Amino acid sequence: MFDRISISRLDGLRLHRALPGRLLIFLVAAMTFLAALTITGVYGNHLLIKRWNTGAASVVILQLLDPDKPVQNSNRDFLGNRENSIMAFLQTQSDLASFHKLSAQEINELLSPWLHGNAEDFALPLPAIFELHLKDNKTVSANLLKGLREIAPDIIIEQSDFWKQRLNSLASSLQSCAFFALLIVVSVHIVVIALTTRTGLIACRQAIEILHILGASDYYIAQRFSHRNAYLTFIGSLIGCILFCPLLLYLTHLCLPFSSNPDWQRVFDQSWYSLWFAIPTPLFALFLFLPIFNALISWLTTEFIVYCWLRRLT
Amino acid sequence: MIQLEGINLHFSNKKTILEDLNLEIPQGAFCWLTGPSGAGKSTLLKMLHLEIKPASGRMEILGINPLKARRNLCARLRQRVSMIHQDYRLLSNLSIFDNVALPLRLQKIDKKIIQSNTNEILEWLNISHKQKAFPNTLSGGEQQRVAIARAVVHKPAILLADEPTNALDENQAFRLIDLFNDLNSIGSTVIVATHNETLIKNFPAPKLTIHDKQLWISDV
Repeated sequence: MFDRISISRLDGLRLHRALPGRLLIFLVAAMTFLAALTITGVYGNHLLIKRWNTGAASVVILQLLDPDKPVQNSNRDFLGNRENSIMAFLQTQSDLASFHKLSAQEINELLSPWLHGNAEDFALPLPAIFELHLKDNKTVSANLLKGLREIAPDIIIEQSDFWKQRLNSLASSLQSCAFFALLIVVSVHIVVIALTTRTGLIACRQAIEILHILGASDYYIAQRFSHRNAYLTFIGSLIGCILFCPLLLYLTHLCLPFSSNPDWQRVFDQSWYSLWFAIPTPLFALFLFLPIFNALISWLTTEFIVYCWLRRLT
Repeated sequence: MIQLEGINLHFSNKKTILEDLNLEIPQGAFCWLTGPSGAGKSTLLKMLHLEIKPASGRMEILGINPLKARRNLCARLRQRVSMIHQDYRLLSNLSIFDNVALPLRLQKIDKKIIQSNTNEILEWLNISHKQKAFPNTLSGGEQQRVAIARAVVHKPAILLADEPTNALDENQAFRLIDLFNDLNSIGSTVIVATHNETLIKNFPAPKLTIHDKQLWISDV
C-alpha cells in the first residue's frame, strides 16, 4: 500500500531545510507566551469584575440612628419603631437577594479595633446597621431610596453603585486593550507563518515546478507545507504554554485573595503544587486548546499562501 | 489524441511562434518534430505538456480541454503526459532511483510495483548501477538517460521528447528510439523533437516541421 510518509521524504521538497523548525518554533513559543499572558489577564479581569459585581458592589449598608424612635411620617402608616418599619419595608423589596441586621456582637467586633474594648462599655448610642445584598446586576432603585427616606429621613445609605460603574468601565477598557493585544499577537503569528511559507516556497521553487509538471496536485504541495507548519506551530505553542506555567502559577498565587474560593487562605499557605488545583478550569482548558488553535491558524495561513503561489504555475 | 484549433502561441517575450495552428494527432501515433533552432519546438512541446498556455485557440488533450479544465484535472492530465526536457529537470537532492520513481509515487502506485518498474527501466537504460547516486555526480548522457527513464517509467499516454538523443551516442540513440517505438506499440502517442536527420531516416514516421510560424506536416 502506498505510504504517504515515504513520499513525503522522497518528493525532493526537503521542507526540513526550506521551513527550518528552530526559528519558527522559537517565534511561535514567544507569541504563544504573549497570547497566554493576555488571555490570563482578560480572564483574571473578567473574574475580578464578576466577583466585584456579585460581591462588594452589590452590598448596601444602611445606618439607622435612633432605631427605637417611632416613625414620624404623616403620609403613610408604619408599624412600631423605625427599626421594625425598615425591616418590614425591606421584606417587600424584590431587588434584594437578602438583608441582614447586624447583631450587637457583630457591631462590637467591627468597632473593637478602634475602641479597644466593648462598645457597650462606652455607653455609645449605636445605630442599627443593615447589610443589604442586591440581586445580580441590580442597582439601588429609586423606590427603595424613597421608601427608606420616608421612614427615616436621616438614614445613612452607603452604596457602591458609583464605584461599580467606574470599575466596570475600567474593566471594559482593560479588556478591550487585552483583546486588541491578542489580535495583534494573532496577526503577527499569521504574518510570520506567511513569510516563512513564502521563504520556503522560494527555496523549493525548482522542486515544486518539477513536481507540478510531473502531475503533483496543488492539494498535495499545499498539504506538505501546511502539515509541516502546523506541526512546528503545535510544538512551538506547546513549549510556549509550558514556559508560561510558572508565571501562571505565580499569577494564580497573587490573585487567590480575590477568588471566590472560601478556602483560599489554606491554598495560599500550602505548597506551589496545590496552586495547580486553584487555576480556573476554563483557563486551563483554554491553554490546552491554544496549541491546537495556533496549529489551525498556521495550517489555514499556509494553505492560503501556497494555493495563491501555485496559481502562477499553469 | 491531441487536437489543436486556431492556436496562436507566443514566446514569453510576446514574439509569435505559431499562428493559427490546426493539428490533430490520433492516439497511438508516432511523429517527429523538426525545425531550425529557435523556431519554437520546445515551446510547442511545453504547451502540449501544459507548462505554458497558448495566447488563443482551442486545444484538447486526451479528451480534456486544459484551458477550461479545473487545476486538479490538469494535474491528473499531466500524470498521463510525460516530457523529456533538454535540461533534464532532475531533482538534485534525490537519488537516481527516487527521481525515476517519483511519477509512480505521485500516482500512489504500490511500493512493490514502483520497485520493480523502476529497476526494470534503470536496467534497460544501463544506469541501474548508479541508482543510489545523485544527479550532479553523473555525466550529461547519464542524466539524460535518467530523465528518459523518469518520463517512460509509468508508461504515459503521451510522450513528448525534446532532443532526447543529443547527449547520447548513436547506438544509445537507436536503442532509445526502439524504446519509444515499444511504448508507441502499446498505445502511447510519441512526439520527438530532433535535429538528427539520421534518426528520422532510420525510423520513418510523420514529420511536423515548424517553419515561418506555421506547422507543416509531411510523411517520411
